[in-house]
Amino acid sequence: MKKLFLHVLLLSLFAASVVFAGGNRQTPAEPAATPAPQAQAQTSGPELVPVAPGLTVVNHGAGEWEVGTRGGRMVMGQLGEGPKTFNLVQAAETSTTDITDMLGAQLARRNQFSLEYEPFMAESWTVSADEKTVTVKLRPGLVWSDGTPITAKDWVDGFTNIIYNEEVQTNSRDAFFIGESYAVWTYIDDRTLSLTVSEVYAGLTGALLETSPLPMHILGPIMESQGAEGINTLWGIDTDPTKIPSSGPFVISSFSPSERITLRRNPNYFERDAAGVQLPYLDELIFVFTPDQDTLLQNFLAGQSDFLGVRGADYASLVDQQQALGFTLYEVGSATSTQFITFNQNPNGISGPFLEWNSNKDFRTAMAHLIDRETIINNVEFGFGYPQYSFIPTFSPYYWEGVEDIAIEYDPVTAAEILDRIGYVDRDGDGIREDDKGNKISLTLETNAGNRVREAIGTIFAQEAANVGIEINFRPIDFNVLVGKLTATFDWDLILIGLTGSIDPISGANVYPSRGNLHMIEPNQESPRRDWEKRVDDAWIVANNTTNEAQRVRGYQVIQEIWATELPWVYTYTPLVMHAYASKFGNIYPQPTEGYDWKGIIARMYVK
Amino acid sequence: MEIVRKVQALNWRFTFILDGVFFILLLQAGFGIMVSLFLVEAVFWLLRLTWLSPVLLRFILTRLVHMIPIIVSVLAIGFLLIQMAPGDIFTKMLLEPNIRPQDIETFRRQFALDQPWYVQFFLYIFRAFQGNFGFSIQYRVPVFTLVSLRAWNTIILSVTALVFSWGLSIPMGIIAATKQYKWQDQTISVFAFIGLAIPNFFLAFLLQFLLTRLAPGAWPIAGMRSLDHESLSAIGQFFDIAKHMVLPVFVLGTSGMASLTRIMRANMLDILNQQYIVTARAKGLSDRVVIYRHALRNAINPMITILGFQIAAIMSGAALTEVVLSWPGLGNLILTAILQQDLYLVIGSLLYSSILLVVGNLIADILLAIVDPRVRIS
Repeated sequence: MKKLFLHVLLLSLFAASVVFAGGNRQTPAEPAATPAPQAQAQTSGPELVPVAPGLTVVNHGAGEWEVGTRGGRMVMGQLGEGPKTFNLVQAAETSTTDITDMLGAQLARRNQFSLEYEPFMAESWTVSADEKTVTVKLRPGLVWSDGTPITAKDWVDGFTNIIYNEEVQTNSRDAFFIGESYAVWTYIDDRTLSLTVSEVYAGLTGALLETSPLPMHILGPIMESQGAEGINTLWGIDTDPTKIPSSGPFVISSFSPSERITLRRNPNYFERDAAGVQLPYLDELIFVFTPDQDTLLQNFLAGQSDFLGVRGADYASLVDQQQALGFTLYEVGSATSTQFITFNQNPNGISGPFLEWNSNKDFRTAMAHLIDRETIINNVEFGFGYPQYSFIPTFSPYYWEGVEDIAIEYDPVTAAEILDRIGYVDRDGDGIREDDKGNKISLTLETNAGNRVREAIGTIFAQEAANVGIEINFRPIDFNVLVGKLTATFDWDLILIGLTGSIDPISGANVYPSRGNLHMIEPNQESPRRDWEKRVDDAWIVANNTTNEAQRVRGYQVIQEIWATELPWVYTYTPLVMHAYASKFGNIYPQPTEGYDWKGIIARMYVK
Repeated sequence: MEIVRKVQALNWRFTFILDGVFFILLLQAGFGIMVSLFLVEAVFWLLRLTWLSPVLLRFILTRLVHMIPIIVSVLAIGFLLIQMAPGDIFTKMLLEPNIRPQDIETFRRQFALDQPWYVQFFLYIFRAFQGNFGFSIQYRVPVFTLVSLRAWNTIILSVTALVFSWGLSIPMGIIAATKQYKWQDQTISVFAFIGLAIPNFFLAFLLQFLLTRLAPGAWPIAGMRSLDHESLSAIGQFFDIAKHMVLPVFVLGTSGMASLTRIMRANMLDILNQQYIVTARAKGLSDRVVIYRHALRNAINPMITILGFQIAAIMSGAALTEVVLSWPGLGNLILTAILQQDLYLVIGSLLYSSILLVVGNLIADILLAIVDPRVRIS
């Protein structure tokens, strides 16, 4: 009896300590009744209402930056392992580019409010009369952080000799392969350069203006003596990163692998604020790497970082703490990611009834009626998301709002009616419909295993399909197997996958036109098999072989309309992005488009 | 083991001096030097032993030679298994609209990923004998360099956790055995079972959660160094790392402690029921002498075998805890390498852990020979 008592006592002590700490969570220091202060200055136009209480939303009409003061530091909690390289040429995934981006300014910046290009390293640029050449004039007096002047050669030689070399590993090459050849760089003088293409191409100016210079005073000799291999292995994380020249607002001041990186002000950075003070305002920008999202959250709550990318799941634990812990929770807007279900219509991969069902537009429409976007958003993102109907993000000037009116919404009753009408009915009373030849309608839906979001969407969709008598076998599989099916063997029925969108959908040249290798329903077509594909291909040329913006908008409208009615794939939802910043910082105006000018924006942030 | 006793007699004084230096340095220069001195001391002992004993030297050399075929076949199986997994590190790039398929072929060729596994294997072995252990594909940095950058952090964490858990669980096991079914034994058992029942990552989350709720900012909940680490004095830096180590060492230590305590308790109980213990008690020996001189010496032997395996786990055993508590060690590096199919980094980590496993077992065998006079090396 005594023993039992002892066990119970110890266990209850342990349990009590857990409950005690958990109970603390329910009593926030400040009630949420007083919402966090709205960003005061620079908000003009209509007041925006946040999607949930306690969120701050910054008006899109704002645009002027406050004049700040120099000093202080900002600590960014970053998910993952930190940079994989300091080599600007190779940098690919975000944990690397988040750092290397700070080391390279671009020719022009895309204003996060107006989305227009504004002069940055370039003083001006002109497009030739035939629209095939863009000439850029650099600002005077541009200097690398190590003191070497930045010249037009840093672009012309950098791209011609290094980026265009096919042995060099880089993601920057493809954007310049236009038509049948690479765009040609020309050096005119130290402050002038031009880029020429063989055919009129809408992406030319953007591709050029978004480039950063390469430090050719270092890369040039390496390329000459060691070739591509020398460039590929340059500036790995084992080198002393403080020596890497920067053209951006920051230089690296210290680095410990998978722990943190400290950046400090680039003494030679060219940009100044309205009062003539050299930017950036911050003395130091520190990235702390955390491989786990929950640890990232706890670190932010403990005051050990000043920024947090907030998940829907984190909202509840953050919203009441804003005043007590001194931070502000911002509603940023829609993310650029997409999640969609696509229907294989490739006769080289599937055959028989599967091909027949998927090729039937009415069947695809019925399936589209079964996507319950609201339930998906509630289950996966705790309500923080937007239904998605187009491959273009809603904040892009090319987004066509009409797509919301013609979109196929969740409606299982109509879905059942359509299936009845096309003769897909349950003939043997087993609860599953058969087609007119008596084949049981049973399809496999695949996605990559381990993706929490996709696994949830797939489960919800399969349940909805079962409710109207369609059997969907949901099967998460290894990502590489999935890629193999999409790009090589084509033996799949339905796949749930996503692609990252961007403001200018021109990067989807191998996704939407029928010749594209990622035109998933039937890739790499010599000539379009389906009538609507022909129309998409034509509209793609209208939208992209021009520099006339109105024409581009029209071209993309046609493609969005065809995509929403022909349903080669059906979009589901995109998450709402939320950011939390410590309230002590000024010039915090988060926008969904901030990624296009991120270094320029960070250079403006200051400690109040 | 006549020799061993001779060595002990010879070297006591010297090691005392070494330990003295060691404690002074410990306060000045932190864990790095502490651990390296541990290693220097161990190597020193080994050298003295082998110098005095050609038998031991031959034993060690034979074992080291036997190591080679074991490790080579582990690597061959490694290459085979990785190639059997679908796709490779570049496969997912096929879904990125801004990379052309022919570029991906070039990347594959640069890393011999277009070759069958046996070609990759022989290339690797050939280069390894020239001292080149391959490049990580994600980082484009030599695997050896990449692992060395992180290994130290994992070693100081694991060794401290090892010392912590062994230092507590051996005495706790002894107490639990000698006070069998009394309140001491019950208390230790309850804590041991709680430690066994809570997975490491969950305990880490729980402690983080408790700390941020009860005392936000008072104690570091993740990482290895605070932000102003560089500006601290040497002693300040030492205590800074020590502070950051408390949480991971506690998490790692307690999980090991549960099973160690239980095993120690069982061993001890086993020995305490032997007839020679009854004899010793009957002769009127004090409890202290019976337990520590007679019982413990025999009960400790199975523990030494376990120690051999724990040495192997030093590099990999802390992976999950490292991820949750963002300790910049090897765990997450290797985990990501496997998930990303970074071929040469995976093979590199396989090489390190198999070497440690074999060497760990060798050390355990030697220790066993020293502790237990019945075990003879031949």
